[in-house]
Amino acid sequence: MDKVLKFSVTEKIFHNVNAVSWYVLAITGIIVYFNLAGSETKNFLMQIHIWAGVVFTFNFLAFIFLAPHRFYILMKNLLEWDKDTFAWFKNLGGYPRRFFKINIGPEEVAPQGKFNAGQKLTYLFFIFMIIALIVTGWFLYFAKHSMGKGLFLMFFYLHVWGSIITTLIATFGHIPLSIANKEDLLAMWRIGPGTVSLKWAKHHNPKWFQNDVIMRPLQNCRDQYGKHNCKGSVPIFRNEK
Amino acid sequence: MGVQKIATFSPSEKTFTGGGTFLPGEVKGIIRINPNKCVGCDTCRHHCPAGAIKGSLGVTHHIEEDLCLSCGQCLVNCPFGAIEQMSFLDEVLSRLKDPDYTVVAIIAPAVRVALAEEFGAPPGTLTVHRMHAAFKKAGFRIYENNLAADQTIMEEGYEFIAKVKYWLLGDKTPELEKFAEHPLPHFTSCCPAWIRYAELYWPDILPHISGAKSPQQMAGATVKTWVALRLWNIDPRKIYTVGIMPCTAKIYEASRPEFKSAFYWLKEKGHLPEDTPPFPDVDAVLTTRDAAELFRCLNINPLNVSPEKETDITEVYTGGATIFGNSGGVTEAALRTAYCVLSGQEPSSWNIEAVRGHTTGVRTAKLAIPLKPLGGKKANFHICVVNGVKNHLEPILEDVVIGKSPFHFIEVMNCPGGCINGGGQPVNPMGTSWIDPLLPLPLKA
Repeated sequence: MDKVLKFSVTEKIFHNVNAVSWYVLAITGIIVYFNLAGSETKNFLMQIHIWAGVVFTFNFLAFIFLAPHRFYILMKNLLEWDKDTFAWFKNLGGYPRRFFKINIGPEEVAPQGKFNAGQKLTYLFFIFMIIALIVTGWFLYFAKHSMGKGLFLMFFYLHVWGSIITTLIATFGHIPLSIANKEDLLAMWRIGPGTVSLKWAKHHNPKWFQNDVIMRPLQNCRDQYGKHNCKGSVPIFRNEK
Repeated sequence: MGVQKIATFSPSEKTFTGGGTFLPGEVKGIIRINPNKCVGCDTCRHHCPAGAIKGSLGVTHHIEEDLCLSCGQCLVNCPFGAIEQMSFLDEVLSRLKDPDYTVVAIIAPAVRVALAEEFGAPPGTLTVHRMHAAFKKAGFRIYENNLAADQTIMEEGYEFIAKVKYWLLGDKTPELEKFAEHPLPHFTSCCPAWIRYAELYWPDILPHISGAKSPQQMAGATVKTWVALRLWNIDPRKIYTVGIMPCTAKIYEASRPEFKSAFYWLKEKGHLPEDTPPFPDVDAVLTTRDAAELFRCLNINPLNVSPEKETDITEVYTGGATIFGNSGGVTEAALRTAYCVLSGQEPSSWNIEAVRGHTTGVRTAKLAIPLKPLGGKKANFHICVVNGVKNHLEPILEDVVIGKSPFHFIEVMNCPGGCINGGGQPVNPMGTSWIDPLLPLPLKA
C-alpha cells in the first residue's frame, strides 16, 4: 500500500462543486456587472447566477452539516500555525525560486503540514469569502429593504469586488499552483479516491505525514478500500487508531 | 451624517410637448435613471407605486414616463445615486437677477425641517424665521405655503362637512346638490402623486377626491391675485412664483394646464390687457435639495443668517397647516375644522393623535363627533390614513369601488411618512423609507 488518503469524498464533492459553481457565478456576475452583454442576455445570466448561488450555498451548508467532522479537521489544519508555518514565508515555499528563478530566503523549505502556510492563508480567505458571498448574496436578493442603503452598498461592493479579487487569486494563484502539484490535483479531481502517494505526502506534507498518518501492519489482508492487499502496512490517520 | 448627492438635469424642449399620458405643457420626465450609473440592483422597482420602472435584477432599469407619478421615491431610495431629477434652478436664478420680476417663494412645511440637513446640521435645526431671512437674502419675497394650507383646510374641511350633511344627515338643500356626484368616503387631494395615480390607475375614485387644490396651487393663485393687487400693488404679470417643495411631483402639478386660475380671474376682472398670454399660478418648483443648491450658488448658509424679527402678513399661519407635512397631518387639520363646525364646540383636545400615521402603512381611527343638527347625538366617523401608496392603498380603493368601504375620510400620501419623506427632500445615505416594504412592523419613527 503506497497511497494515503488526502481528500475525503466529502471534501472532494464540496471543493469540486464549489469550484464549478464559483466560476459560473464569477463569469455570469462579471458579465452582468461590467455590462458586457445585452439586456436579455444579462437577464438570463442573472437567473443562472441566482440558481448557481443556490447550489453554491447548499454545497457549503451540506459540507458543514453533513460532514461536520471533515469541516472540523479542515479548519483545524488551516488554523494550526507553528514556527515552521511562519518559516514558510522566508522563501514562500520555494516557489519563486522554482518558477521564476528568484532567490528569496533559504533554499530549504520549512516542513509543512497537510497545507503549507500559503495554502492556509489562501484557504482561510477563500472560506471567509465563501461565507461572505453567501451572506451578502442572499441579503442583496431577499432582504435588501431590511438593511438600509449604507449597509446595502457595503454588501454590494463586498459581494462584487470580494468575488472578483478572490477569483483573481484563485485563477492566477490557486489553479496554476495546483496544476504544478499534479498529485494533489489528481487526488482532488479524479473520479475515485482522493489519494496521493506516500512519497508525495512525505515530501510535500512531512509534518502531516509525521503527525497525523501512522502505518499499521495489515491484519486482514484488506486495505481501507476493501481491496485485497496482504503486503506491508496500511496508512491510517492518528485519530482512527 | 451628510446627505447623498443627487444629480439634476435641466428641462429640454421635449419636456413640455405632452403626449402619452401628458397634456401639452405638462412637465414629463422629471425623474430619470442614468444608465451609466444604474447597476440593476432592482431596489427602485420595489419603491415605485405605479410599476413605472422596468428592468430585472442585473439589468439597467428605465422609467416608463407615461406610467410615472414623478414622486421620486425611486430617487431617494436608490443606493447608487443613479436616479436624477429635473431642476428649474437655472430658470429661478435668472429670474432672481431680473429686476423687473418679483420672485415669490412658497415654502412648504416639510422644507423647513429638512433644509438644515443639506448644510450639515440635524433635521429641524433651522428656525422658520432664519429660513425666511435666508430666502429674502436670496432675493425672494415670501408667501407661506402654510397660509395656503390653512386656506386648503377651510376648503377641504368644509367640503367634507358638506358631504356629511348631504350623504349622512340627508340635507338635500340646493347648495349641496352638487355633492350628489361626490359621495363619501372623502379623499384628500394635496398629494399630486396620489392624484396622478388615481387619474391613471383608479379613475372610478375621482368623484370621491376633494376638489380643493393643494396648498401650493392655492398659494400661487392667491399671490398673483389678492397679494399682487391688494397687498403689494404689483403687476401680476411681473410676479414669478416658486414652490419650494419637498416633492418632485409638485413640479408636475405646477405645470398642469388647469392651474392658471389667477390668469383667468384677472382677465375676467379686467386686470390684464387682452393680449396677455396665459401664465401659470406657480411658475416653477424647486425641491428642498434645489433650494439648498440655490443657497450654495448664492453663497448663503441659512444656518448663519440672522433670523427675521418681523413677520409679514403673508407669513402667518396656524399649527394645523404645519402638520400637513407629516402623514396624517391633513386629516388631523381637517378633522379639527369638521369637529368644530359639525358639533358647534371645540374638541376636548386639538391633538387627534389616533390619525397620526407615520408608523404604519395604514392607520385607521374612529372619531365620535356630537352632531349639532341632531341635538348633540354622537356619530362615529371612520378615518383612514394611507401612509405610502405602494403596498397599502389598493385594498382600500377596491373597497371604495365596490361600495364596501367603512371609511368616511381617507387621506392618501404617496410617500411613506408623508411629504417629510418626499422625493425632493435631502437624501439620507442610510435610507429612510427602505423599511416600508416590510411594514407592518411595530416601527417607531
